[in-house]
Amino acid sequence: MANTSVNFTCPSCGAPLPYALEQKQITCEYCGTSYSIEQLEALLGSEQKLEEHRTKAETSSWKTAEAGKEWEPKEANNLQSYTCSSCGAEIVCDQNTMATECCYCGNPTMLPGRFSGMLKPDYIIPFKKSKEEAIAALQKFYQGKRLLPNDFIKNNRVQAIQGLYVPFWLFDSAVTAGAAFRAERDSVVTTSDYIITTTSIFHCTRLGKMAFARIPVDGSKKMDDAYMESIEPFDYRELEPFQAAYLSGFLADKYDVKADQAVGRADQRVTSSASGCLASTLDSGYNRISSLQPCSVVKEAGEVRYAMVPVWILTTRYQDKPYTFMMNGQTGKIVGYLPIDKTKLVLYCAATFLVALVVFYILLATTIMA
Amino acid sequence: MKKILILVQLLVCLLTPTAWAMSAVVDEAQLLSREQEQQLVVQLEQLEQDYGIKAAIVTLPSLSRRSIGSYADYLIDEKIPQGTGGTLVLVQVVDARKWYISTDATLRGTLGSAEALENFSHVLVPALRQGDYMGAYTAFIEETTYLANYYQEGASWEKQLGLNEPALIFALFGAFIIMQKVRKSLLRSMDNVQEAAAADDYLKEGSFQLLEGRDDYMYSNTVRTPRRNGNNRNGGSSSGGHGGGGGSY
Repeated sequence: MANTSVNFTCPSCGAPLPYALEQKQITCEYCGTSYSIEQLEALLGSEQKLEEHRTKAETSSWKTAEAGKEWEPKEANNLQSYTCSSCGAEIVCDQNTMATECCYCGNPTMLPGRFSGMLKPDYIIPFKKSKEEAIAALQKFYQGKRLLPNDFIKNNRVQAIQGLYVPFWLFDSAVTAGAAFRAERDSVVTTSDYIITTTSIFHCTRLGKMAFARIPVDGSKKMDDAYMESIEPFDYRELEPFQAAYLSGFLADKYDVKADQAVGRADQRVTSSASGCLASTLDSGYNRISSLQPCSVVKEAGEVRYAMVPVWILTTRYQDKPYTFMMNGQTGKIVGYLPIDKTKLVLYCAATFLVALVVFYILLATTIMA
Repeated sequence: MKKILILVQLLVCLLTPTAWAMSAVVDEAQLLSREQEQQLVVQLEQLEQDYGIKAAIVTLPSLSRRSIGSYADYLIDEKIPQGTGGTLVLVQVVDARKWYISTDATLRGTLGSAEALENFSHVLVPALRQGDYMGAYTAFIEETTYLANYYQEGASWEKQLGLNEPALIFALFGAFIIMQKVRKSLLRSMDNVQEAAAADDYLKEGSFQLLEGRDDYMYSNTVRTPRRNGNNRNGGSSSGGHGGGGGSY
C-alpha cells in the first residue's frame, strides 16, 4: 500500500496532491498538471520561511508611547482652546490669536474654553507660504475649471482662508518584508498553421529590508485623510523642534486620533511600499506578476513622533454643501473638491458627442464608400 | 503542342499588356462551343446596357507561375475596357481547378465584397464541380445581374435617406466613447483629492536591500491558436484597389 503521509496542494488549482514516497513525479487529479517532488519540496520550504516571517510580523509593533511630551505650565497657560458649536471641532491658539470661524465647517460661533488634554508636539514645520500667497493660489486653482458654477466664485470667501497647524504622527522604521508572487513568462512560436504560446508559471519569494523616515498620518478625525495625503509630501529638512512661539497668529488643531489609533494607516502604507519594492526585484522578463499573499512586514525599530504641519484651509458652503480647500503651508500644493454645474456638464457632453458623431460619420462614410 | 502554343500566347499577352483588345468571353481552355460563347457575350452586353457593368469570362487551361488572383487583377487593370458602372472578371484555371473573380475599385464594396463572393461561390462551385461550365457562367451572369440590381436599389434607398447605416452605427459608438472620455476628464479636473496608498516618498534612499530571492518553476500551459491562412479562399478585398476573391472547386 502506498504511503500517503505527506500532502501538498497543487500550485495551479489548489487541490490536494497526495503522493507516494516512491514516486518522482506527481500529477494533480483535478487539473492534470505534473510536478517533480523536488519542485514541491522547494515550494514548501519557501512557504514555511514566509510563514515564520508572517508570525514574527504579527507581533512587531510601533513605539507609540514615546510620541509627544508634556507642556510646561507656562506654555500651557499661554494657550486657549475654542470649540465649534456646530461640528464640535476643538481648535487651539495662543492668547493673542482668536478663532473667528470653524475651519472645518465654516460656522462663525466658536466657544472659548480652557486649554487642556493635549500632548506637546516633538516637532513643527513652520508656515512658509503667506496668506496672500494662499489666496492667489486658490484663485488660480479655480481658473480653467469648465464645470465650476458661475455663482460659486462670486460667493467664495477666499479672504477667510485660515492658517492651521495640523497634528501628525510621524512613523520612523526599519523593516524586513517578505512576499510571494506568481510570475508568468510567455514564449511564442509561429508555425505555418499555428501560433503556439507557452506560458511558464513561477513561484517567486522575496525577502528584503528597507527603512522609512517619518511617514505622516494625521491625528485629527475632522481632517479628511484623503485631503491630508493629497497635500503631501512635506520637506522634513525644515522640521524644527517644537516651540509654542510658532503658533502665534495661527490656529492649531487638537489631535483626537491617538498614536496607537493611527498605526493601522502607517502599516498599510509601509506594506504597500514594501510589496512594491520586492516586486521590483522580479525579473523584467516576466509578462505578468500577481501577489500570492499579503506582504508581511516586521518592524525592527518602529519609532513614532508627534508633529505639527502647516496647512492653509478654507471651508465654504455652496447650495448647503461644504467645500474644503487646503494648501500645504510649506510647499504651496493645493487640493480641493469643486462643485459641479450639471447643466454645463450636460452641454459639454452633448456638444462633444455631436462633434465626434459628425467627424466619425464623415470619416467612416468616406472610407466605406471608397 | 497545343499546350505550348497556349502558353506562348499567354506569355505574349502578359508582356504586351495594352496590345490585346479583349473579348467579353475568352475561352482559352476550350470549354464552350462557339454558340455558347455567343450566347454569353449577348448576356454580358445586356448586363452592361442595364447596369453599366463591364464583365468578362476568361478560361485558361493552366497558369504557370503567376497566381490566379494577380492575373485576374491584371486583366481588370490592363485588358478589360472600363465600364461606367464598374468592371468585373471571372477567371477559371482548369488544371488547378481554381476560379477567381476580380473587380475594379468601383465594385470593390459591392460585387467585390466578401458577402457577394459568398453568393458567387454558392452558384459557381456546384456547376463547376459537375463540369457544367455553361451553367456556371450563366449563373455567374445572373448572380451579377441580381447583385447589381440589389446594390443599386440599396444605394438609391440609402441616397434617399442620406445615411450610411454601418458608418452611422460605428460613428455613434465612437462618439459615445469620446464623450465618456471627455466627461471623465472634465469631472477629474474638478477634484484632485487622492489618497496616498503607499509610503514611497518616505523610503530612505539606498536603504532597500534584497536579502533573499528565489524563483521556482512550477508548470507550463500551452495554447495553440490556428493561423488565418485563407489558402482555400480569399474573400473581401485584395490589394491595389481591387475587390473580389476566389477558391477551388
